[in-house]
Amino acid sequence: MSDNELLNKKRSNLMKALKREGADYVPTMLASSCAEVAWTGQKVTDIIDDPDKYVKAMTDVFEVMWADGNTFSGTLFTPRLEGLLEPLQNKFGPDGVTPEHVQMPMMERDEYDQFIEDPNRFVSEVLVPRKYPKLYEDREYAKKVLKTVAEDKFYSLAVLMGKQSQVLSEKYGITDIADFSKVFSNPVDTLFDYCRGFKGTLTDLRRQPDKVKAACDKLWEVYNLPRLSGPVDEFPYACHMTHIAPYLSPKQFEELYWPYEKKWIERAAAAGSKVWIMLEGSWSKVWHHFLEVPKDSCILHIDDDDICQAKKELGDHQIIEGGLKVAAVRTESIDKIKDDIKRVIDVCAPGDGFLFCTDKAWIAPGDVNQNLIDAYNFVHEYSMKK
Amino acid sequence: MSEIEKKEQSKTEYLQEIAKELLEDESWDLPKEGRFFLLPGFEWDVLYL
Repeated sequence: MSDNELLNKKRSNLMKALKREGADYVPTMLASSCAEVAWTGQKVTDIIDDPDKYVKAMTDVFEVMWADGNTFSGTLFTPRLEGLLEPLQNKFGPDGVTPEHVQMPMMERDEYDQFIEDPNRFVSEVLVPRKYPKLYEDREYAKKVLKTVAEDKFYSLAVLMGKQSQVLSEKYGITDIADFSKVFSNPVDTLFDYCRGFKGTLTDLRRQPDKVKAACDKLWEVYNLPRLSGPVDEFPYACHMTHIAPYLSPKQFEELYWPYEKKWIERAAAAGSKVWIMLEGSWSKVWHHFLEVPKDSCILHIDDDDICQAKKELGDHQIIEGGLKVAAVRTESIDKIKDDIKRVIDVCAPGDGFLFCTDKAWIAPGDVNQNLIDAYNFVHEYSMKK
Repeated sequence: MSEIEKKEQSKTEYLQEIAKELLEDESWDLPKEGRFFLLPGFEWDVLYL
């Protein structure tokens, strides 16, 4: 079979699963940062400056492991900013493979009025100078920093991801289903991620909920909504890595988070597209809201929740993705893993609208191991026979 | 630009002026279409580095 035949065969089956047209087998999906590199015995930090070497290390495992689609894989940064700009929230850890993210909230609890007046200006006048004062003391330094960041983002997002996507599709028949240039941010996550952090946002929700609501409404108006102004592509799909939602009460979720999320989903559905959403953490207390939006408008990646419960409660209305715990891959026998996979396939495959994936991304050395390879190959073989 | 005018430049204007210079820099080997990080709103992404 030529490479293009492999791609066409896999993609055709993937689309059948997504459109509920009788897939021949359950598609298996990648979700990773760079753990594939560790599987080859190398460190990301040692090879990332060589695009060919890096992409080969990121894709070699698919010589022995069946996969049909890619939700996300790769890195949004390289180590080249380290030593030039401090502090950095995103770095590779000491193992040279695992990305580490540390929240560094710059906004104080009594600054909501300033923020609400003009969030964009507050960020550029107050928060960035507070985090990086040196940028405003030395113009040549500031220029060097912006230049280096721009080069790094182009290299990570365009060069490395572009080349990897090409190899995945042309050599291994793996299709990207999510477009990370069309990433959505819910304003509650924007406030959480960029300004107030975990402790701050959750405290504010109790002590000054009206300010949080006003801040989110303003963010939606001047930050989140303008970033949705472009046309909606039918495929690959826009995506959303949710963050704060599982820490909200059902009431907070319904009143604060869901209205923005719903608007974004309905916008994609109206254009005949879907959205891919990482339901990070546990969502079972609020996921009934996804029954309110058009059928099959969402691909819901299940993380800590029970995939079979998700299938039962949502699977006739939305597409669900998941089925294998990364923790199990690292700690359980392959026989136990296969038994669990049989149960998941038996429950989730009927009726299509199911993509097999790990609950969490492959981020650290050991996440991509022989159990993972055997598990993915078993899903393909077992579901083909069903 | 006089010293007085420089002092009146806001922090927003200062950083955006540098970004604009880089976006228009003909000597920079990064393709212009690859300079997407420097487009309006880039301050949010600087905050998240």
